[in-house]
Amino acid sequence: MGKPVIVIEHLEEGLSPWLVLEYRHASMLAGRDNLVFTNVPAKYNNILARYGRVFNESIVDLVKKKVIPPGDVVILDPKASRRLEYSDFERARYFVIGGILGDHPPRGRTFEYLTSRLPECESRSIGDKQFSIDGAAYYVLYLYSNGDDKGLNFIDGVDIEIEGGSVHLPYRYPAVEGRPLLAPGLEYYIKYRRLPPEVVEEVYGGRLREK
Amino acid sequence: MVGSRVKQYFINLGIKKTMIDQFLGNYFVDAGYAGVELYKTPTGHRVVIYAEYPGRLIGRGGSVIRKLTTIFQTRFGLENVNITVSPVPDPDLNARVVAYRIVRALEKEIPYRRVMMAMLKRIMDAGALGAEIVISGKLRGERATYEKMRTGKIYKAGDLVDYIVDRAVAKTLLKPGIFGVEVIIVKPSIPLPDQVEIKALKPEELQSLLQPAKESGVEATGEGGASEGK
Repeated sequence: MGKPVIVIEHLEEGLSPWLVLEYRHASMLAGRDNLVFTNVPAKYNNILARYGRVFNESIVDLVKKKVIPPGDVVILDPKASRRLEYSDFERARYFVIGGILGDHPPRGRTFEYLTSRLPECESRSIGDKQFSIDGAAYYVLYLYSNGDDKGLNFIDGVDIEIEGGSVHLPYRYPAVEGRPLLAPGLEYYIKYRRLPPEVVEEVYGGRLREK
Repeated sequence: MVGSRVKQYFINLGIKKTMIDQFLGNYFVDAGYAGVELYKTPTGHRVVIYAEYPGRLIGRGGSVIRKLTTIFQTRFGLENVNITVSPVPDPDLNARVVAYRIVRALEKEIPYRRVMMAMLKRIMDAGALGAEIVISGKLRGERATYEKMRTGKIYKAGDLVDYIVDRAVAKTLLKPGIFGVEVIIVKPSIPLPDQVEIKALKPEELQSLLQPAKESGVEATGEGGASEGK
C-alpha cells in the first residue's frame, strides 16, 4: 500500500492568491511527488509546476482515456453516502479533491463537476462540513498515517481579527495543538489583502507582482 | 381571556403588515425604503411608508402611489387604502436605510471595506452608541467569508435590545454570487443601566460631604479607603 496521491482538480476560473496559498500548503503536506493538479489552464503551468505535477486535462478525461484506472480513484465529495476509511487506501491510490473556493452554504459543485461525471469511480465523504483544499489533503494524509481519524480534532469556523473588525471563515479546519491549521500566509493575506513577500518571491519569482 | 377570533384578527393583521413590508423592501431598495405602518381606520386602511427618498415612492404625479394603492387593494386585500409617504426622521440611525445604502454601493462595485468604514462613521456621527456591519458572500470573488466591522457599544442580549437596537438584513445578487448585509445600530437613548457617570465635585462640595463623616466618626475608614484607592 503506497502513499496516496492527492489529485486537485482545478475548478475555478482563475488562480487567485487564496487558491495559490491552499495549493502551496497541500504541496507542503503531501510533498511535490504526491500531488497532482488537473484541469489547469496552460498559463498556470509554471506557477503550479513547483508544487506538483500539472495536467491540462481534467481527471474525468484522464480516467475516460484509461490513463488512470477508474478503480484507483476515489473522489472526496461531501455528498457521498460512504465515509472515507483506511481500507480505501488498500484499493485506491488517487484521492481527488475539488479545487474550489467554496460558497457558504456549499453549492455541491464537486458532485456536479466530478462525481456525476465519473460514475465508474467511488466517492467518499470526509464529513458533513466543508473543508478547505489543504484541510481535505491533511485529513487524507492523517487517515493514511494513523489508520483512523479518532485523534483528529476540527474547528468549525475561524475568526481572524483585522483592523476595525474580523473576518469569519465558515469552514472546517483540522485542529493542530488546539489551533486551526490554516495555509501559511493566509492570515497575512486576509489581514493585509496581499500575499506575504516570501510567497510572492516563491510563486512569481520576484518578476511579477501579485494581482 | 382573549378569544381566539380576536387573536386571529391581530395575527392576520401582523402577517399582512409583514407581507407588505417584504413587498416594499423587495421593490424599493433604490428609494431607501425604511419601514411601514399599517392602521385600521373606520373607513378603511391607512398605510404610512417611510423612505429615504420619498419622491421615488410617490412617482411622477403620484403614479407609483396609485399603483401601490391598487396592489394593496387587490393583492393584500386592504380596503379603501390611504397611503402616506414620509421621509425617515434620521436616516443614518435607521438600520434598513443603511443596509440598502450598502447594497447600492456594492452594486456600484465600490470596495466593500471602504463602504463599511464610511457607513460606520456616518452612523456614529449621527449619534449612535454603537454599530456593527456584517457583509457575507464571495467578497473579492474568492472563498465565501463573513466580514464584520464594529464600533462603539453593541448590545446583543437583554431587555434593552428590544428598545434601542435596530437590526436589518439586506441581500443583493452580484456576479460572484449572493451577498448578505446585516446592520446593527444601537440608537442613542436615555442613560442605560450599565452606564457609569463619575460626578465631578467642587472643593466646597467635597468639604461639605466630608464634614458629616468626620462628626460621625468614620474618618479613619474614609482615609483608609482613599489610600487603598491610590
